[in-house]
Formats: sequence, C-alpha cells, structure tokens
Amino acid sequence: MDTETSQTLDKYAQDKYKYGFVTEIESDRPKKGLDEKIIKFISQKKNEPNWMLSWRLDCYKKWLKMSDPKWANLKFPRIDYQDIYYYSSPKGFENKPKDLSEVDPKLIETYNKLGIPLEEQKVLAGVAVDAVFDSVSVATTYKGELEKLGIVFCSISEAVQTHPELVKKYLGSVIPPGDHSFSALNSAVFTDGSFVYIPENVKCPMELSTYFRINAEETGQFERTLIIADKGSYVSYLEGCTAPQRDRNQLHAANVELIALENAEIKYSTVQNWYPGDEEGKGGIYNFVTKRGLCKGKNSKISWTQVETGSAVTWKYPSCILKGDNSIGEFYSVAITNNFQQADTGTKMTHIGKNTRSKIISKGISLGNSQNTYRGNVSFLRKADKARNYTQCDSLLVGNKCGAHTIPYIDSKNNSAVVEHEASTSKINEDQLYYCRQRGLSHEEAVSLIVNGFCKQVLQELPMEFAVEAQKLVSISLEGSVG
Amino acid sequence: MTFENNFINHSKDYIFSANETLANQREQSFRKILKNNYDKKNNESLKNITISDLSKFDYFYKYENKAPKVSVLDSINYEIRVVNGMCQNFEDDNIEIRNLQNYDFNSFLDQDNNNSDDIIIDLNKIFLNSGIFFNIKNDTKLNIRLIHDTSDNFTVFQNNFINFKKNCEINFEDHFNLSHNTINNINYNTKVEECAVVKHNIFQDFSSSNKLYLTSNTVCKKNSSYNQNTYNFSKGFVRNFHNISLNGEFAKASLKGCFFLKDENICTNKTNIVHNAEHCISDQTYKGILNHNSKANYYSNTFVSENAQKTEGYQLSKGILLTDHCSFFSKPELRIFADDVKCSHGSTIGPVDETALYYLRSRGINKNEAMKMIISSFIEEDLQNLDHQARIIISNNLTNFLNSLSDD
Amino acid sequence: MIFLNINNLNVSIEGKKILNDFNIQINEGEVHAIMGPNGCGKSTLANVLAGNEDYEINSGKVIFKDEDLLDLNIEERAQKGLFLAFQYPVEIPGVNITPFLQASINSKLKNEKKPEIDNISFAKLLKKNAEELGISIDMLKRSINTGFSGGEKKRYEILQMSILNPALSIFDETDSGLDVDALRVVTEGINRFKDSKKSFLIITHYQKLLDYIHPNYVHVMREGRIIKSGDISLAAEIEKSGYQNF
Repeated sequence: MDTETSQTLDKYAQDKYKYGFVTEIESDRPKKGLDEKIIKFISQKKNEPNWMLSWRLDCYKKWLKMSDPKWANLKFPRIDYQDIYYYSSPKGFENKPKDLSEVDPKLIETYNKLGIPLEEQKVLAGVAVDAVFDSVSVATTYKGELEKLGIVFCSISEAVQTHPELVKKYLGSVIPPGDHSFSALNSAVFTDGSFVYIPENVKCPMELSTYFRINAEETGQFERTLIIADKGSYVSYLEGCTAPQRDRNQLHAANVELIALENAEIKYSTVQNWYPGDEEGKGGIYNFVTKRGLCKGKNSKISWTQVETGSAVTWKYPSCILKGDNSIGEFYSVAITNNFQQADTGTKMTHIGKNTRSKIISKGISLGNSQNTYRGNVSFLRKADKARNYTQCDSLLVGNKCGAHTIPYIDSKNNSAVVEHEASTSKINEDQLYYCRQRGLSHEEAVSLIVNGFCKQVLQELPMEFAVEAQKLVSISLEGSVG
Repeated sequence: MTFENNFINHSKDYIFSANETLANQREQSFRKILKNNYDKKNNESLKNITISDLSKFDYFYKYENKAPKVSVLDSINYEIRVVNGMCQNFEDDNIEIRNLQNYDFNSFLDQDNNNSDDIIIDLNKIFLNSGIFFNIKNDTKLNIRLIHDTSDNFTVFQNNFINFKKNCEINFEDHFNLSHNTINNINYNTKVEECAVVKHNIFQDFSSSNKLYLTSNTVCKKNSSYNQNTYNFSKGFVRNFHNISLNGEFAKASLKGCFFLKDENICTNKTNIVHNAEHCISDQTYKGILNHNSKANYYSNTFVSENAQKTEGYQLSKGILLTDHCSFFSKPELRIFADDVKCSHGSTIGPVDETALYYLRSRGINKNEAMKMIISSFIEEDLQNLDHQARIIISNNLTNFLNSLSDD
Repeated sequence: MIFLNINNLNVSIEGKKILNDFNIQINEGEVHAIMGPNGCGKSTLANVLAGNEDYEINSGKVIFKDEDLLDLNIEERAQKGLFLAFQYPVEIPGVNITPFLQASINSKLKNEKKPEIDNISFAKLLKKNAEELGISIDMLKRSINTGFSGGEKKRYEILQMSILNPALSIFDETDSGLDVDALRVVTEGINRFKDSKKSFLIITHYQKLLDYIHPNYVHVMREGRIIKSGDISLAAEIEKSGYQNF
C-alpha cells in the first residue's frame, strides 16, 4: 500500500469507538459461573413457569456433553465458562417498570447517548424500540399502537408469561438446542431478548427494533429473539448493539429464530457495533451468534442484512431453511475487520422445497492485522426441484498484514437446481483512487467513497433510517490501518 | 483382511525395511491412522471414500516377469511402460529413469510430500512397494508417454520423483492400463526447475473394478510453467489430489480437469495451490458431467502467502447434473494474506442449459443429439491445446460416454 | 501570470525514459493539440500533469498559474483547475454520479475559500448542464461509468468538465473508440465550453477530432519530445503522409 493510503487510514484512527462509555449503575447479579442453581435463579428472576425451567435444564444437560465448534477460522483462548456472570440487571428491576418514570434516569440517559431516546415525546419516528440492558429489557416504545393491530412486540420474558402457547410451539423449533454448544448454552441461560408476533395478513407499519447494550463487566449476554410472521404478514426488524470499552473479553452468545408462514415476509437487519478491542487487540466482545430463519410456508421470504463492524471475534451465520415451496432466502452482508479483529461469518441456505430461491451478497473488507473469512453453505436437497442460488462474495484487502478468506460449500443433489457462485479478492483499485482524486477529492474521501460503493449492494437493503448511519460506520471502521 | 493384518503381513515383505527413515515413516503413518480412527468429520479426504476400501483391501504384490520397457520411438518421442510399479532402468542424453532402491530414496526425501492430513498419503507410505526416479535433463524437448500397467489383483503403492531440469520443454502423459481389481496409490513428487515448461496430460479410463488414488506434489521454480490436464472417463473410483507450490517469481501453474461419471461412480478432485513468490499465476478449471447415481467432489484451496504480492489466482468449477440421483459437492477456498492480488473463483452446478436445448431442438435436432452437442461444447475449450493423438483418445471416450446417455 | 510552462521535463517509468527534455508553453485561452504515433509519450504527458504517481519525474519544471505544479498532489492540482478527461474512464460500481460530482465541486470551492454549493442548486446546475449535453436524467442516477458505453463515458467526462469549470482541460485521446456521432456530441460540448479564459491541451492520434475543435497550435511529438510545431495545416499534413516524415 502506498504511504498516502496508510496516512489516510491513520486519520480515521482518530475517530475512536464512541460507544465505549460505561454507565455507573448498580447491578444486581448472582455469583460467577454456571450450574443448575444459576439457571434456577434466572428462571426464578423471570418468574417462569415450570415447563420453561425444565426446558432450560434439559438444554444445560445437553451443553455439558458438548464441546465448542472448532471449524471456524478463528483463534482465541478457550472460554472459561465458570468465569462469567450469567445474569446482571440494573438494581430495582425485579419487575419490569410499567412506564419510564419508574426507570432510573441514568439508563434513559445511556440510551439518549446511544442515539436511542426512549421518552414518549422523543421516540424515533416510525421505529418501535425494545431496549435491552445487560440481561433485562428496559423499555419498549410504541407498544400501544402495535397492540391495536394485534402485533405482539415485547421482551421474551414477558412473552413466556403472556403467550406461552406461541413460545412453547416455536422456541427451539428452528435452532434445536442440541445443534451446537453455543445454541445449547444460550437455550439454558438466555436472559432477555425480543419476541414478535405478527398476526395473519398484518403488515407491520413501522420498523421494530431491539437495541442491545452490554454494560456490566465480565458479564455474558445471552439474548434470545423469536419472531413469528403469521400467514400473509410482513415485518421489518432491526437490531443494534454496542458495549463499553473494557480490557477483558466479554461473551455474547445470542440465538435468533425467525419463522415465516405462508406468504409471510420477515426482513431482519443488524448493525453490529460491539466494542472491537483496542489497537493492540486487547478486550472486545466475543460474538458467537446463531441466527436461523425457517421459511415454513409456501411463498414465504426471509431476508437477512448485516453490517458487521465490531467485536473482537465474530462467529455468525444467519441462515435460511427454505422448506415451503417457492420460498425465498436472502443474505446481504458487509463485514469489516480492523486491528486484531477476527470474523468468520457467512450464511447457510438449505433448499428443501420446490422452486426455492436464495441470494447471497457478501462484502468483506480486511484492514490492519485482522482476519476476515466468508463461510457459506448452499445445499440443494433431493426434492428441491428448480431451486436457484446466486452467490457473490467480494473481498477487499487494505495492507499486507491482514487476511481475506473465502470458504464456500456447495452441495447439489438435484439436477434441476442451479447454483451460481462468484467470488473475488483484490485491493482497492488504484485507478479508481486516481480518478476520484483527479476530480479533486482527497485521498481520504476517495477511499471512503470507494469502500462505500463496494458495499452499496448491501447497504441499500437496510431500512432508510439506518442506511445513512451504516455508511458513516463503514467510514469510521476503516480506522488505524498501517500499511 | 483388516487393516492391522494387512500391515503386519506386509511388514514381512516390506522391501524398504532396511531404510530406517522409510521404516519410521511407515510406522508413524500407521499409528496416525489408528489414532484418528478414520474420523470422517474432521478429515475431508475421507468424504465419499469407503473406509473398508482403505482398511480392508487385499494387499497383493509380487514380482512378475512381465517386462517393463523404455522405448525410444524417435528423437523426441519416448514411451515408458511401467509394470506393477516397476520400470526399466534407462539413461541417455535426455532422460534418466530408474527404480528406486532402499537408500536411493534418501536423496529425494526432502522433495517428499509430508504436508498432509491425508490418509491416502499415509497409506502410500505404509504399503510402499515401488518408486521411480525420472530425471529430465536441462534443455531437452521431449514427448514422454508413461503407461501404468497393473496386473490382475495387484496393489501398487508407488512414490515417484520427477525432476524437470532447467529450460526443458516436455509433454508428459500418464495412461493407466489397469487390468482387474487393482488398487493404485501413486504419488508424484515433481520439481519444475527454472524456465522449464511442462505439459502434463493425465488420461484416466479403466474399468469399474479398479481404483486409482493419484497424488502429486509439484514445486515450481522461477519462470517455470506447469500445465496439467486430467481427463477422467473411468468407471472405477478416482481420487486426484494435486498440490502445487509456486516458489519462484513469475511461475505459472494451470490445472484443468474434465470428468465424466456414470453409474455409481465417485470422483474426487482436490487441489491445493500455494503462492509463495511474487508475480505468479495459478489457474484452475474443473468441469464435470454426472449421470446416473454418480457423485463428484471438488475441493480446492488457493493460498496466497504474505510475500506473494502481484499474485493472480483463478478457480472455476462447473458441473452438469443429468439425473435426479447424482450429486456434486464443491468447496473452492481462497485464503489470502497479501493485498496486491487478483483472485477469483466461480462455481456453477445445474442441469443442461434448457434454453440451448430448446433452441437446438427447434432447429430439428433430436433431444439426444442436442444433448451431445451441448455437452461436447461444454468441454471443447479445454481440449484445444491437445495434440492429435490425445484428441482421439478424448473423442472416443466422449463418444462412448455420450452414447451411454441415449441408452437410458 | 505564467499559465502553463513545462521546462525540460524528463520522466521515466520503471527505469524506462518516456519524456525527454519536454518543453511547451500554453497561455490562457489557447487551444493546443499534440499529435504523435503510439508510444511517443502523449498519454504520459497527460498523466504526469494530473499527478499520476506511477511516473518518476527525473528533472524539469512545470509551472501552472505561477505555482510549481510538481509540488502538488493529484487532488490539489484538480482543485487548482486542472482537469484530465481520461482515455479510459474507470468504472466505480456503487458510487453514484450525483453525490460524487457534488463532493468534487465542493472540494474545489472549499479550496478557493468560496461557500459550498447546496443540494438544490447543485441538482439544478447538473440538470441544466446534462440537458445541454443530451445526457438523460436517468444516467445521473447510475454509478460512475458503470456499464456505460464508450460514448457515454466520454460524454460524462465532458459533463464533469462543464460542472467543475477548470482553467486547463487536458483531453487524453478522447476520440479513441468513438463513432462519428459520439465524436460530434463530445466536440460540441467542448466548443460550447470554450472561452477566452480557458485553455485546452488536446492529445490525439488522428486529425478528425481537430477538424471539429480548431486548435490554435498543433505540435508533433516523437520519442518523448515535440519535434515540430505549427498550425492546423500540420495536422492535415500528418493525415496525408503519416508520422514517418517527422
């Protein structure tokens, strides 16, 4: 890389992680470590019925027998599961506050600082937010309005109480707890997360959003999200996440399950900006997330969009099981790694039904000393007649200390199905830089412009409100690369 | 017979036992296989390989009278007939060929393929019963035709070393004349020296009772060029695994494979290309046509090390599935640690192009003929660099394969 | 004011000498054409003036508007009013034309310490100039040069010139790959833009482009330097008998 490119990238370095502050608030948490007692404690805190507790305990027993998946292209020390707090809630959250007047102003202030106002008069127009702080849901906005349409948008703890039949039926139906160790762990100890149910033929009129914040030190966050779109319904859901700057690594092992019934559509977008660790690779979040959607009914559609810029280690493969005939799965991803970040991310598209279609667009950008891997699995089972997949994955390398890796798995067992896969890896095109600069743009602006252009196919899939934010995030994430 | 029994029986006849290094390697490989317990999940080399083929095969080997021979057809055409792994020792101004004896191996061991988690390479070390050294001298221009002749029930575990010396220009062909029930585990350790240009064509067409595991480990030096073309029409099991290291600047490697599978046949192609130097180019194209219940696997890994700037690395795999019962698995990996590179891969799997089929039929061509035309055109571009004789081999095999389509 | 003065410029790329004691002077409002056979260094000249970092300046001086041009980097030269219409404009997928051009003009205004242009005024300006050049509004919604035909790319270069309003415009073989109609559109664009304050350096292989543009001076270049200068009649002479007589 020429010196100017590295200077430009150095300039970005001044733009530090701006969500790294800590909220000074007392938290309520049991001792560190994981055993049956802790699980009972969590269940009791959440006032859960017996079936829920025994489900958790079953999952815990499964987890005990499992070891962590090893196939990812990631290096990190073995996680000591006994050195983590499994539950943390801000003091005074024995019962979820009925309205914001009962919430500690410090918490409201925290969300204001993060750009997510919770107060009625200030809430984001057109976006309903469920704010999760460590292990508990703080507040959910626009609840009343959604209720009028029959939409349920609440924390999963609440849903266990209010809609047990739905939770019982669908929880663990897409991600079996025994799938791998992180899913078993999450199933045993999940603390909070969002629950969404969209009734038949309802098009949800606003974006639903959950904002996750890890605050307490040495605390794992294990949220669980369950979204059910009934026949003919539509919902767009957005997830945001940040964490304070801390020296020690923190674990985040979420499970997200989506179910789309006949003719339903779910659009799930993530802007992941967990603390990535510092320039030397110290600290940061371990992000081990299992996201899977089931296109259960005919003509259903699930679309994942992710912009991954944070975390020290990312292990994440939002996937679609295309079971219903004519169903559609999509995956759009931008993953940027810098400094010592490592990401192994991609998707899995399993075509079961006839005429199912999937599309994968992945853009990876590696800088600094980071390692960025795309891992994608496309399989056509015997009965997936006329199924189609199109995959395009492009990687951009900035500097010669980082790595960009592409590992696709393509498995076809149906002769009428068609898979097309394209991938490329290159550095920033010097001719493009020259062209932009000849028109008067600075080197810095040119790099940012070209990288954003590179990501555009993905960014344009984000809901309007977040697309601009994501673009800025992309520019900021190009920070501190040495060439 | 079990694997352990095979090992014990074979120990008595192990012809290289006087060579300690080889004997140690043999022991180690044996222990490794036992320890890993054929762990299919973590060892891709085992996918679609029947464990019993590896562990319970009947090891059979004895010296036969049938004479291997090196024939110098004219000043540039040589034919080498290898019988059950053995060759005739031969030397002239152009080449030197000889069977490796015990301590002979030691001079080449640094060139030996030791990189692997690959069970088939371990087996090669364990049951090693032959090895040939080929030395192609500086500046020679030759066409070499190598025929692997394996007799009924024979089991050949061969470890070969080929040196293509500086500035040579060689067309090297491998033909497999396998009888019945043979197992052939053949490993090539190849060195392509500076400015050498090698074209290596491999023709695989043998009957269903035979198995071939062909492994190669090729090191390319500065300004050299290695072009390998594999054509697999065989009805028996084939596993090709080619490792290429581009160690000198401006080296080029091209790997092409065409495979035509039918019945219950399984073919696995595995490639591993390592770019260690600047300005090197690698290019791979693998194409397969699958009929009946056949299965194909393609594993490819292009690795670009940190100092291999200005690398170009391309991969392409294409599969046509003709029936509901065949399957194709493809895993084209790129692992890149240098930034100034141009790398890409593409992969498509699907049926015969319906619109092309429709077009041809609308011009009055019957469906079978149309299919044949489309399939021929699918590989046509990969045949262009072949000489006349090779083209005839391919074209006969292709006709047979295409005729079998209409039998259904 | 010295507008553009190139004095004994020597340039090489990867050790190979390309410009050899090259000299030229261009004054405000003049149109100069440089013709020459392939490999004579014409395109190198254009890229060296624009600041392309692939070339090595061995010696010589370039003064542009009283300032040492070689001291400035690529974007500083652009902001100072030097525009290069590329021979092969690069495609930049995903980067939309409109915001790109707005950022571009604002960088120039900022450099001149003038207020930046707002979205609405810019949209109006862009629309007006695009219409004059027969560029459809649809095209302005596309990514830079992506999927454009050869003619569209060149027309888009002219549009950028008309927006950025440069003092010196360099055309690097703009006529290559254009059919007669496209060539006419492009040259009409250049002619409309010409005035007494603006200067042009037109690099071309053929005379045809010059028939439309009418340069004040024509120079013949060979082996890295100008070997003959004259008026438009020189171009006709080349068209008739080729470069070998020079």
